[in-house]
Amino acid sequence: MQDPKDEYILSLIGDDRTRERGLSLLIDKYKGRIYWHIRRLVVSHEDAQDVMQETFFNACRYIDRFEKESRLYTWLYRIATNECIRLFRKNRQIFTSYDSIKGELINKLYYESADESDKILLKFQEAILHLPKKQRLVFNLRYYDEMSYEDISKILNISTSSSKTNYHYASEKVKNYMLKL
Amino acid sequence: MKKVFDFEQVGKRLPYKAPDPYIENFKPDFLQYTQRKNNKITIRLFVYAAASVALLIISSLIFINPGNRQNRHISDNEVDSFANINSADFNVIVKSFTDEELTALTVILDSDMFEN
Repeated sequence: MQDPKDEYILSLIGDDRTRERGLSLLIDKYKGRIYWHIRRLVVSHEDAQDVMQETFFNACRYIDRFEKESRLYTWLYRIATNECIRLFRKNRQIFTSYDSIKGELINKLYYESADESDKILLKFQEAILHLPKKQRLVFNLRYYDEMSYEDISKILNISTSSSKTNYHYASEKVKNYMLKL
Repeated sequence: MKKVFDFEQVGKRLPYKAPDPYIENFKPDFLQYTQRKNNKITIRLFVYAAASVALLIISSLIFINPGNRQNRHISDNEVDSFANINSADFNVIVKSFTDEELTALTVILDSDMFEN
């Protein structure tokens, strides 16, 4: 079955009688993409579950504040990304620095990976986890979600040129990391 | 010849999976999250209330009777007991929180929404 259009979902949400149905369609349409975006950032399924709950809870709660001229999926990605960043900040209370969080994420990567995982896939994720936070966010959105630089800039609240530059640096670093070992 | 990494070797594959029916069955748990948000608000109100009470006590010690304070010698015992009262009170407050509430409390106190 084809996914319902955003305009249709929003029109259902806008009417009190069909609001619940609209929210349900919104969740069903985007839950897969948003889950994988979150999972790539937080690595563990357990953390991804929490962030998913927060993301869709906030999306449903604040849907009336959504500005119709922006796209629904960039708005959802923005909420999800902010929730991931909030989780990193919370963890930073425990791990003290972003570098320690990186170390923790890499540990989780090896712990969470399916046994039959290809070594190259693990190494690739490790390379991405070694990137600075902004580069990692941009790289994931561009490489996996194939987003335009304009959409990335809206999600991360940075300029389009900054998205391009960050992606360029991130790709080079990932390539070099993959050639190292 | 210079080695080059080809992204096609990896594609979009990931080394981990989502437990099978998780994404399919996902629904936000509104009840649990409303309760959690309310708990956070309660903790925040408690912190503000505690801070206000502490401020009132300190202000009254400093401003209400400054004359007596200047003439009165504070003994070492009084200083010690004041310090002990504070730490005891602090311990009572800390003990009354669960680990989760304490974590939430530190996050609230240290969070800065605009920090990069």
